[in-house]
Amino acid sequence: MSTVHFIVGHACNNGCRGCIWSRRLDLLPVAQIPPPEDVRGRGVRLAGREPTLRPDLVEIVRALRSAGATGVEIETNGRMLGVPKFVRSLCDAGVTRLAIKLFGRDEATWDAHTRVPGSYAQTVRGISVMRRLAPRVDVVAVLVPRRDTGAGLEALVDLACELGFRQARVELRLAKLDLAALAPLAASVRALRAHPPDGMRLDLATA
Amino acid sequence: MVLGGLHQFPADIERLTDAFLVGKMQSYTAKGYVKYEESPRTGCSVPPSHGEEMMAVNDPQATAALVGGVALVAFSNESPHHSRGDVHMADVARMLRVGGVPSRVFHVHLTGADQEENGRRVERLVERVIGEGCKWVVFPEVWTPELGRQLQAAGIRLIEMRSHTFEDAIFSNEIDLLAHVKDCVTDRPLDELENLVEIVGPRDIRPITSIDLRVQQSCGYKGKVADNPFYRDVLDVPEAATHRGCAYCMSARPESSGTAEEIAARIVERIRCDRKIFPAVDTFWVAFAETFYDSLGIAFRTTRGDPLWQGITLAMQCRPDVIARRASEIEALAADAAACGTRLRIGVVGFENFSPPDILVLNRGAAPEALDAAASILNRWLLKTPPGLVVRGFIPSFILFTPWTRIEDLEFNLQRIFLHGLWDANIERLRIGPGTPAFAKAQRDGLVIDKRVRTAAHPNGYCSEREILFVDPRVAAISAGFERLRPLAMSELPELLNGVMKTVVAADDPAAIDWDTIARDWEDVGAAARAA
Repeated sequence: MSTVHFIVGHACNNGCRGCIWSRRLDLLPVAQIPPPEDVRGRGVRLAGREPTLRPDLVEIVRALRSAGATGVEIETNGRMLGVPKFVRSLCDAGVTRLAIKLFGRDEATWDAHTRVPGSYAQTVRGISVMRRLAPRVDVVAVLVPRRDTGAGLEALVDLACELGFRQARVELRLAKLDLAALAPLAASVRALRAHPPDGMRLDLATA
Repeated sequence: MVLGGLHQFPADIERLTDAFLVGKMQSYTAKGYVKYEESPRTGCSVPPSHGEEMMAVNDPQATAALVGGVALVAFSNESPHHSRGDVHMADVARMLRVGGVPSRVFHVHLTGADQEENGRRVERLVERVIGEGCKWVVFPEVWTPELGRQLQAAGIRLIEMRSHTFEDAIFSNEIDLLAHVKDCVTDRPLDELENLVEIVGPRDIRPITSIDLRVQQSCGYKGKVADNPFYRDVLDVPEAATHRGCAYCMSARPESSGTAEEIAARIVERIRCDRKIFPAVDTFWVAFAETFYDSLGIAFRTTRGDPLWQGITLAMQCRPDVIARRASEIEALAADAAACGTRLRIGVVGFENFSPPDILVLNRGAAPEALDAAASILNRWLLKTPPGLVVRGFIPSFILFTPWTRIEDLEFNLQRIFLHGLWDANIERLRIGPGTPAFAKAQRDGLVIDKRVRTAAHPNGYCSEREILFVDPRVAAISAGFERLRPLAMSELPELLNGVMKTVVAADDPAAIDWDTIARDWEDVGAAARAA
């Protein structure tokens, strides 16, 4: 199934170090729904910067599904998922997958990275609420290993396991990695591919 | 395709973020993952826009119209967003036609990523110029000696206008050019604009969509190198002693002449005329933007309602210290632009360097405090953008590597870049060529290799660039690593530089770091990630 990817806004409630979108905050334009022929029979991914800040996100998801989208994924930092009413609305509208970004291996490094105290706790709560209220919605961890927060590949995968994720999407980006440790990283990637944590589906890609 | 509040990826993201994403293409895997295909930021080849009408060039009717005439050759890089034309060469070609000499600009678009393809494009240039039966070919500089010899072998004579690098070429300024090519004068009537520019090189030709707004303005910054203690020991070199402006600038010229009203009239005439020569142009690049503010304001106010403004963007190359000083004027100017149906875009902001010693090397004349203030204003504008102004997607530009740069300078710059959130900064080394104070000083200090750098074409004249050395071997290693890895690292250049610095600082022998091995390790990571 092909997937079409939409950027749905420039606002974000985190202030992550290294975010190349961070200077692109802007007032949100009025939403319009793409023509059905653009999405019919396809999966749709809504991202960037933080889709859940759009007040009309639920309407967008509903319209996409009505237009024939086979599934709707939202890529999010997960903080807004701690609001049960919002989660119920998204589920009712037809969201099929939530891809939640994990920013650090623990609360301290996570909040230091997002530069928002309490963001780790909010995301963890969001994951919990999501699981409780929407057990049928796929939940995927999005992992970007970084040298500067100690958030290495294995540490992030371990955290995803601890948080109960059964799927993870790993984006390896050269600028964020320890350049002197790329050879061991390749070995780690191979090992994870060969022996993923129990029951976890891992997708890895370089960008 | 813009879908109201929904922007379809990837087509529209390029328009949204424009130059920010230069050098990247997005595509999809079967799973829908977004992939980034890298090429150097200076440009990459992408499929042409569909449905756009090409300029009236390569028209069979026009072929051989130049017999016995003059070809003017301009090189520039393609970007995924724009093809940038050389307005100066077009002006020279018009001048020759007015003087009775058949002439045309052959605009060679180069890709930043594929040198073999560039070679093929230059071959196509040779075919076209010979096919047109030209007597003369005029270059800013003969691109390569091989190209010069090829043309000579076909009986074509050569002229260089910027610097004299090819022994058998005549070196001429614009004023004398007509005299050199007077054997081409014809009685045939010559239209001044028809088929003036031919794009040559790419198989899929795109029209030129962005050009420079040229009204004989020169940079407003005239700081004297003679007043700069860093250059004290090269003041016996004439180009250093008399130079005013940035120490690396090859475009430093005397003050522009004319009142604001006169320049406003020139701007209006220029845009009107250039939209005829380059009909697909939607972006006018405004170098030395600060010298245009007063005149543009007059032009907007006196021609409101004129269709010449409709649908174009003026992309400004700004000095940050001027932004800090004149922010409210820029906001007012943007409002006037909006009233005319035009947008003012902050295209590039030349921060260049936050570190005081490097600011002296560059002779930038901008204090770190002014750069901090400009960054704050730009971030404020991003949060609440004034009407008529486009701020999102501007490129913060930095020159962080000079021959004299120290580790502390790099660290200080990264600290300021991170503080202001300029995560997508473009980072370059100092590009210098003969005729500039920085080159004279580097040469005096034994920090220049007599070897030309020809990695990129650029309207501002990078083709004179020479290789530089570094006083500090650690900085040399950082520069080498950064240059080697940047094509592999998206647009996250400050973070990449930070990673390269950490690697070098931790090494016992920085010169022994093998960046090719690191690049291969990264390829291996990719292979491991892709493995089934």
